[in-house]
Amino acid sequence: MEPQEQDDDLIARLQAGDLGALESCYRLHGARIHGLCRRMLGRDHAEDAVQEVFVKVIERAAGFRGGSRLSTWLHQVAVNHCLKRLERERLRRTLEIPASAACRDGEERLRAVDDREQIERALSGLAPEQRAVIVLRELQGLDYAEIAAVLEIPVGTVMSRLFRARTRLLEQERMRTEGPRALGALPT
Amino acid sequence: MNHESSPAGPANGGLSCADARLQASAWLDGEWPSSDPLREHLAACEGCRAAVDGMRALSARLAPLRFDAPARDLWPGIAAAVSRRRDPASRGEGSSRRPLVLRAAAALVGCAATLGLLTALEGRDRRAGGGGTQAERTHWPAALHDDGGGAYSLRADFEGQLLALLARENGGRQEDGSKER
Ligand SMILES: [Zn+2]
Repeated sequence: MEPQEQDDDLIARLQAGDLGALESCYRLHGARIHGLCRRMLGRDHAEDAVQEVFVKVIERAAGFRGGSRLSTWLHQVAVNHCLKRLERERLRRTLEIPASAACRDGEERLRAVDDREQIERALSGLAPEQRAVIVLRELQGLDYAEIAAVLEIPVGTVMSRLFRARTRLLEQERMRTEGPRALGALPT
Repeated sequence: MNHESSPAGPANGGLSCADARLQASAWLDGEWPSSDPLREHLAACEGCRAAVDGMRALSARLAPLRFDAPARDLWPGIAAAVSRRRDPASRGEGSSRRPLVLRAAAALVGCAATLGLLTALEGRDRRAGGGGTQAERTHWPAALHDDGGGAYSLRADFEGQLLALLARENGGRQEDGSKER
């Protein structure tokens, strides 16, 4: 079955309230939606969010008008859910980063884990709207048209918001690495 | 990106640094053509070349965060949540249609008992010369409202709530039917 046919079939069955279709949908897209929720909300909230998103998917399938891929619509439901949740819970501050378990490992691995934590921390420090475009582009691999459809904004806004988010991330990194020098403190 | 910016000019492809970096960001994503003005600007502007390198490096650093499947299968939880919402009776709280009337009656009895308790407590307070601060006395009904939920908010709104419960019992079937499709 072609991807579009597979989408159409799943959507029709979702609209009929078919729980089996929701399971297929979860098996196909659950990992990506989890990745999105994980980066938007942090590890502790991701699994709950995935569950809530898929409940919304079957409850709102009737409102899906077509015109975009099922995966795009799923991202839209998930991003909106995450943004609403962030707004509600005001989780805008830095999210909890799991403690590094790499102390037994070699120097290089330690650096890699450290770098991953740093970039996770920087990402979680972005404003939710900027984090959403970075996650959709860099981690979920959506193109600008898909991101525009998910966020319901023009493609030009995707382009500028993404650029601003990248600039902000790079500024944060610069502050982290050059901050002490900028303040005139000696490196330890 | 600490690299100094310059305004648009013939020496830098007629693009300002801000425009060049915006276009380069989209170009890295394959969403902007590699135009002559952009190429000329990058060839002439070291700051923007460094900015592009920074954005490229950022993408590489974000790459390890791409694959993040859940540690366990979340499907059983999703299926259970959908079932609970479709069939409130499966919540195991005795919240099926028929007992709703009984629940309303139970709420009535509960409120009557609570009112009695409250009256008795207030009477005791008065007998003890108004023991407790004003804040403590006025907090009582608020606490009952919080703990007991809507059905236990007392006095003025109790009757309205009971009527609403009964109205939901009468109108509930239709509403749920449309949701269930
Ligand atoms: Zn420049």
